[in-house]
Order: sequence, then structure tokens, then C-alpha cells
Amino acid sequence: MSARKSLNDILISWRTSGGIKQTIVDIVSRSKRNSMVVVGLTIIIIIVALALLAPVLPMASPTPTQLNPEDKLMSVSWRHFFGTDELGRDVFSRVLWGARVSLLVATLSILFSLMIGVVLGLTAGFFGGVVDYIITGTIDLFWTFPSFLLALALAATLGPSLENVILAISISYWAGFARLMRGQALTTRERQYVEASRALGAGNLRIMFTHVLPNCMAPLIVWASVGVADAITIESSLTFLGVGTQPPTPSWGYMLNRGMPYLEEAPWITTFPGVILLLTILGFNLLGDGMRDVLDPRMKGLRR
Amino acid sequence: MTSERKSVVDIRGLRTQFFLQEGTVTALDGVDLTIYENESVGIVGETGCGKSMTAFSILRLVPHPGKITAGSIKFKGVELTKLSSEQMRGIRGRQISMIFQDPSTSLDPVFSIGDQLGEVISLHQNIYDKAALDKKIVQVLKMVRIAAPENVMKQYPHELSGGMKQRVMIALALSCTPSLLIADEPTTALDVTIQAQILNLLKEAVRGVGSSMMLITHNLGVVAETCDRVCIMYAGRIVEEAPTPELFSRPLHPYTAGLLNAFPKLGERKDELTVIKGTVPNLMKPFTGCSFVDRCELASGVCAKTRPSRVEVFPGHFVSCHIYPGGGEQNGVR
Repeated sequence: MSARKSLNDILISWRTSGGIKQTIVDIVSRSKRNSMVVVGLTIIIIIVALALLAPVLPMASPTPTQLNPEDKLMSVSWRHFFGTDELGRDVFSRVLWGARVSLLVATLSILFSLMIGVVLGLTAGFFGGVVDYIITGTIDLFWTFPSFLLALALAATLGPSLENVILAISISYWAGFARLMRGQALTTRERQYVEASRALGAGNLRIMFTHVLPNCMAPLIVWASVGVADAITIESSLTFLGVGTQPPTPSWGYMLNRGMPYLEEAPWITTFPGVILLLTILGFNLLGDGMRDVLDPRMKGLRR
Repeated sequence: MTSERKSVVDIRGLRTQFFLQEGTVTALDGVDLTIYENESVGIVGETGCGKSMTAFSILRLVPHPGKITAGSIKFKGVELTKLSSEQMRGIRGRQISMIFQDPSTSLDPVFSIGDQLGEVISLHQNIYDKAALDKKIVQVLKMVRIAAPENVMKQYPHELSGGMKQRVMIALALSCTPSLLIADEPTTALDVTIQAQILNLLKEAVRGVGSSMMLITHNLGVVAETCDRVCIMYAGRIVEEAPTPELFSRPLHPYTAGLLNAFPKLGERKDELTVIKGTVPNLMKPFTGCSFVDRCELASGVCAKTRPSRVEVFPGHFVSCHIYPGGGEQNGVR
């Protein structure tokens, strides 16, 4: 009864708040003047748009049913912007289709780890005591493993598939978000407005989700943005090592792997996926860095 | 006269203690305090004497290692110390509200003023309709004399001045017409010109909604302007309680007299300010006698041995001191 009432309170206060909208408008207006955000976002938007449009663009299929041996290892030309690979498949088309996989895996896995991390970190930081002790212990357990090694071990154990890669990255990546969230919650719960809203009759759930969480959003957004770049790297690395998404699904990591023997003969097979991979990661990192400046409360005075 | 009036809060023998590793700190040591309907009571004392702790005890928000260990707090006949935390939450904000010292940190920086007022109003009054809520928010902001409430509603805390923020805090606290408003040093963080405005507003607004007020301050001037009665606190105890004019004209307790003496008066030449010698005693050590004994110029042997009990020297004027007849007869509460 009481939990349901509190949840209801949260929904109501979200519905009645016009402030979120205003906050978003402010963030957008400040982002426009931050060159890192603009450049990062431009790169991301171009890549995402190309990835989304891949099925309708007039280009060769990334996984043709009929392979023509004469087409193999063709250099950059008007017909094949990025050349063709060792089986005669169009590299440009495969890079775009590969972007779909990489972006999907990265966003989903960061979203999942964000959810796990926020809930656990918020609970630990807000309540403290035994709850904090147990959750922090679990976080540290995961944190001690390098996230790539953990993801590699998990992906290898679970077996290679798209779902398992997402699962592996989520499990190996959430601890960072949880730690960040816990630290933020620890400081925010001591703020006087938390005490004031308690004195005005707010309950734990309400305070956690309407006062503590929104005040911790800035670093979470920054981390999530950089995290997407990280997840793309992990996904590509896993696939490169053969435990990620499986052929015939086009993927950057797989293309890099298969192109290696032809590095001298046909460098375009590896160069183009590599450059696009680099650009995507750069884009997300720039966005993350820029957002840190934009969301910094000390920069708030500079708006308008 | 006072006995006929209905009490809002009736505190008897309240003791709040903090259990630290180094020992037990007795922050409140047998506080007796009654606040009647439509009355403002000032609680005055030095830093650490337990003023704020009295407020937090009433709201049952004593911070972690602290606990209410004895005594009773009756709020309109309901024993607050026995309520569940769920029931207590229903009382906070709706029946008893609090205003904090620093308005700039008491408002959530990520929500607009309207959202924060709306949250409290929808939580306690079940108004969920956006238009009705907005109307109510404007009405509450008008009550605290905010010009252009429709604009202020959309603003964020960092866009308002300190005085405006404190007005918003007052609006927040009074939005649900509580029976008791606790104001914890509401003007300390504001500059002097704003202080008087805020105090007048507070007095008016509290009267307007028919609440009682407990005003916590270390400034006797603030009390003189705002309160009907004053309680002087020292080391976790209330040492003197009197109607405001009475206290200023006839202070009975040596500590009160010392406080009033320490105030420089206008037009009087003084090369050195009068001070009460010594410092506040360590609350970790329990006192057997009067807590003021080490700093009192009139202390005698009995003061260190037995705790003075509360005596009514003049009508409505209570004091706990051995120098008044009857003050030492009862052998302390401890």
C-alpha cells in the first residue's frame, strides 16, 4: 500500500512538472555553443542516419547470395566507394550495416548497465548501512575485473550471439555506473533540500527519485555517452576475437579480423571499418566531454 | 490566562541523546515546553544549546546516532513519539512544517519554484489537476508578497535572491496551513534590510493561516519583534520562560541577564563589550546540578549538587535557578 502510494506520487510529480522541459531547452541552448558537443553530435548523427538508412540506400547487399569471384579485392572506385573484400562483397555497404549492429549493441548494453547501476547505486548511497555494505561489496567484486576481460569471459562462456554480447557488456559495465551513482547519492542525500522535503512530509522513494536522482543526472549522462564509445570498442574487440556477433551478420570487428591477411594487398578492407569505428568512438567521446562542460552547474550563469 | 488556552504542542521531560563512540552526548536534557494556539514562541540560546534539536525532535527527524530517549511530545493530544514513521510523514508538512536557516540550499536546484510548491501541495492536498494546482501555487506565492507570481513560478532557485528564496520557503511551509510552523533561524542567512521584511511577513503569514510558530534564533532582537513568549535555552535545558516584554524588563536567570547585558545599547558608550565568561559545558558529561554553574557569578554550593526545578516566580514567568525560593527544594529530575 505504502509503496504503491509513493510510486503514484512519483508519477504525479513527473506529470505535473514542466521544469524538465525547461531544463532540456536550457541544455540544448548551451550545447549549441559548445564546439565539442556540436562536432561530436554531428559525427554521431551522420553515422546513425547512414546506419538507419542502410536498407533503403541504393547499394550492394552486404551479404550477397551470389558471389562473383571477379569482384574480389577490388580497389576504391565509383562502384565500390570503399572497395570490395576477399569474397567480393561491397565494403561500404558492410560498414554501414555493421554500424547498425555496433550501435544497437552499444546503446542497449549501456542502457541496461545504466538501469542496473542507477537502481543499485541509488539504493546503496541513499540508505547506507548494511544495504550499502552489501551493494558496495558486489560493485567492488565486479569492478576488480577489467571490464573487457570480464565481457570476454562471459561472451565466451555464453556462446557467441548478439543477445549474449549485450548481456556480457551489461554485466561487465554496470559497476562503474553504480559506483558513480552511489557517490552522487551519498553527497546529494546530505543536501538541505533533501532534509527540507523530508520535513515537509516526503517519503524515501519520493526523495530518491524526484530529488536525489535528478540532481545526479549530469555525471550520469556524461558517463553514459563515453560508455557508448567504450561499449562499441568492447563489441568490436569481442567480434574481432570471434566471440561476438557471428557471420554472416556484418560487423566492424569481424571485418577487421578477416581483412588482416590482406593488409598489404587490399588495405581498404580494414582501413575503412577502422576509420569509421574510430570516428564513432571519437564522436561519443567528444559528446561526453562536451556535455560535461555543458552540464557543469558552474557554467549555468553563462547562458542567455 | 495561559491555562485556558488550547495547546498545540506540549513537550514534557524531553531527552534526546547521541550515542557516539566517544560517549553519549545529551543534546536535550529534560525540556518542558508548551506552545499554545495562535502564539509565537521564541527559542533563544547559543550555538549547540539544543534549539534546533528540539525542532528536529518534534518532527522526529533527529539525525542518525541520535535518539529520543525519554519524555513525551503531545501534538494536539497525539503522542508523536509513539507514531509510526508512516503516520509521522503525514504530519510533517501538513500539520507541522519547518523553515530552514539557509534558503539557498533548502530548495532543489533542478526544479522550478512552481514545481516544488506543486509537489508539496499535490502530496498533501491531493490536488492533481494542473490548472487548479497552478491557481493554488499563485495564491500561496501571493500570500508571501511575491510580485508577479506567475513569472516566479517558472523560475529556478538560482535565479532568485536570498530574500525571495526565503519567501518561497515560507510559502512552501505554509502552503498546507499547518498548525505549527518551526522556523529555524529563518533570517540568519539574509542581510539586515531583508531580515525585518521577512520577519514581518512571517508574523503576518503565520497569523493569516492561523498557525502557531516556534522561532529558533540566537538573536534576542528578532524575538523582541516577533514573539509573544520567549524560552531561553542553555546546554539542553530551558532555563527561563516568560512573555517577551516581561523577559526583557525583568530577566530572572543569571544567564538571561548575562545575555541581555551582552547587547550593546544604542547611545551608550562602551570601550569593551560585556561577555559571559567561560564557554558552553561539554555535553558528554552529565550534570548533577545546574548546567550554568561554572559560568554563573551567583553560584553557591547547592548549584553544583542539585538540579534546580522550574518555578513560577511571576505569573507566566518560569525560571530554573536556585536563587529563587522554591528553586532548589525539589531534588532534580534526574
